[in-house]
Amino acid sequence: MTFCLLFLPAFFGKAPLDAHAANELRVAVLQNYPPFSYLDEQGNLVGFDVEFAAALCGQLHARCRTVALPLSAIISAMSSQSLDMAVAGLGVTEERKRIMLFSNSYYRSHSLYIGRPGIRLDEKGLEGKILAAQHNSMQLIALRRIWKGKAVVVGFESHQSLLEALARDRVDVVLIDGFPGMNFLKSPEGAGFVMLGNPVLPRENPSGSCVTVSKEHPELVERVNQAILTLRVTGEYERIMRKYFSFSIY
Amino acid sequence: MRIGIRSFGLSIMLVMFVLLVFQMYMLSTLQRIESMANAAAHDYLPNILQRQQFLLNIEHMRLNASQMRYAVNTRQLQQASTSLRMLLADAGFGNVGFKPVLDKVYPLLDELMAQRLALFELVDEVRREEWRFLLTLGRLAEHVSWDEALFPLLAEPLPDQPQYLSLVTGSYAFTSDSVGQLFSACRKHGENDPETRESCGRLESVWKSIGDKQQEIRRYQEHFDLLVKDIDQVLVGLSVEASSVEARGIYEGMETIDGETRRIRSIFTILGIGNALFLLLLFVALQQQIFLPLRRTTEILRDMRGGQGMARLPKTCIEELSDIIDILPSLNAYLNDLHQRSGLLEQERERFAGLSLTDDLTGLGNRRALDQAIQQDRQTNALAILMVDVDNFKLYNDTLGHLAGDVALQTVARMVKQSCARSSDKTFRYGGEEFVGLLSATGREGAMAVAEGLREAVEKLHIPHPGLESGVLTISVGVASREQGEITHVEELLANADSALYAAKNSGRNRVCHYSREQDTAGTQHA
Repeated sequence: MTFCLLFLPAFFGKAPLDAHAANELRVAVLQNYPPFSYLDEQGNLVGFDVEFAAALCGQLHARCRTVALPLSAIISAMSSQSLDMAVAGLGVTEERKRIMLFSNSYYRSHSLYIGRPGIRLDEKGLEGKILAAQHNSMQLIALRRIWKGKAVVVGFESHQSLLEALARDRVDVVLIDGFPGMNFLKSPEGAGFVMLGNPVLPRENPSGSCVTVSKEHPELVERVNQAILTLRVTGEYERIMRKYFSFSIY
Repeated sequence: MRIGIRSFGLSIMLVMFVLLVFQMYMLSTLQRIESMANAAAHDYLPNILQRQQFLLNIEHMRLNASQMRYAVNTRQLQQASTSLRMLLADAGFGNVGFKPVLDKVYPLLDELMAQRLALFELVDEVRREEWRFLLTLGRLAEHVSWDEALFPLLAEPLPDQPQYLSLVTGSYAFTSDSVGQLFSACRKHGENDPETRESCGRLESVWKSIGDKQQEIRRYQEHFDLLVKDIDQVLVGLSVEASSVEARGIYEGMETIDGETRRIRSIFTILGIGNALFLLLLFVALQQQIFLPLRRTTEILRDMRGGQGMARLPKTCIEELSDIIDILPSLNAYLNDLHQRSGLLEQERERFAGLSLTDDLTGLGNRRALDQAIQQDRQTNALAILMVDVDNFKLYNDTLGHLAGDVALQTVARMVKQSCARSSDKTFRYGGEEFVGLLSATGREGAMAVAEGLREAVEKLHIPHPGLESGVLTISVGVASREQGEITHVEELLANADSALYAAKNSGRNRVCHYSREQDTAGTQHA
């Protein structure tokens, strides 16, 4: 009898989630954010985040409907509970913690300053220059913190519009996440640009990039963490990673 | 040796406590193993995975470094450098221990970058010089009508000869030998032609300048090789360090787990044997020292109750039990003595009971008293005998119980006593529910009156009697009498009264009958 009672909470604790798992999970990835998420020549949604999200759903035994959204849209959808999960490499901030739950990091990266060669990253070098980052990103917060009053800092709605503005010299320097930044530098559009200085962390003690989970499913976080570990141990993570990177991003 | 039952229990508890301590120790060891397994799963495993990735990135950084070494343009150089710097920054992330080592790479990287850019300029210069050399050479060749068959400028270079990189054409190159031949031919030609001499001089100086710059490039490249080698060394060292940290942790953990497992196995064996031995000894001790003596003692006690002789006494080390067993012989003797005494006492009591003349229940005279009274009779004086019997008393007794029956008997006896109230009258309990009254100096009339009075008195008591039609307890009375001078033996009178009682019963109970000689069997005379 005691034996049965001991197992009851575990049983009940699991039951709602299993019921939930039968339903569809609404999962978001970032829109047009190569190599994490982009449309290939055939118009299919591909990228590291897309495949990782699919592997994660497999581990969670859940059916997932994946949509690609800009960062701001993901954050507002998470806050209105119209998304269950976002695989968008979001770092932890106090503000975001109020509206969503974070898993352990599933990759990490530094941010890069990218601009025309020869721009010096100091007060003098950046005087009168326009610095830009994506709206709602940690990079924009970092730019505002570091360069406020020393240079013009502007935000762009999407990753793509930010890079277009850089390519057309409408802004001088952008601060973006390392891997998409590298991707840009290797692309034809990025031919005339270089990384300025060394890679930087958007803030001290960064969390790495996490899967975020709606506050409606607090029980999902632990399962996501377990799934990330399982994917790494089984080599599935590595397999996906090697398709998009020649090095490790974990 | 004798021990108390308390010490016996305490020693059992002590052994159990020792076994328990062993078990607790084993439990704590198991917990250690568990925590080690946990550490392996939650610390070492993720770290090992991370190290794997880290090693992959170190290899990629080494690749980037050599890409920087062999980059042919600034774009390639920039990309390799960006990638290397990013991975370098990333490697420092979460690996605080590697930070100082990684920091060593940055200056090397900066130097490599700066020198590589300077080299690109140098190479550009060399190319321009080479271009000038070729132009001058072309003009000279035209001027002197160069016979290429005679002076092969491009030759297959010997393996140990320095190559002039940018002037390589297929597998042929300008070699110092072929150019040396060119210069000597040129000088010979120029002895009588100032224009040729001038061209030759220019050619020689350009060639020398190219040679110097090539030297410089080689020095740069040697320096690059050193720088790349330095970077490589740092990264390889990091890779070795990274791969060994967790492996060491796991190895140490495994060693410990191995040792702990061995220890647990031996403890488990000892504990198992100890447990089995303990249970065996406990069983033997309980059987030999407690259960067996207890059973024998019970048998002896049972025999003692049956009054049989004592069997052999069992032996035990348990003090309390032993004490009980030791008491048995004296207990037996005491019991035997008691038996004897109580036998004597019983005889005595019976003797005293034989002397009694009073009925215990009713207080009337008993049968023996009646016998005495009969013997004392003088056989001539007037005497009447009332023989009283309670109607259907057996039924009364059966339905209302013996206690109620006794009470009824006592009541009737009291009424009999009240009726025969003179000092010379005597009353007896004759049998179960039969009473006898002896009325001295009383004739037939008087006796009948007393008997009738008694019958009425009892009826009027209205004692409920479920077995009779009237519903109340009644009596029947048989009367026999002897007149003054008449000689009749009391025993005969008694028999007559009995037959009169019989007649009264037969004629419907609750009545008085006097004995009449004519109807000895059924004769009745109503009062």
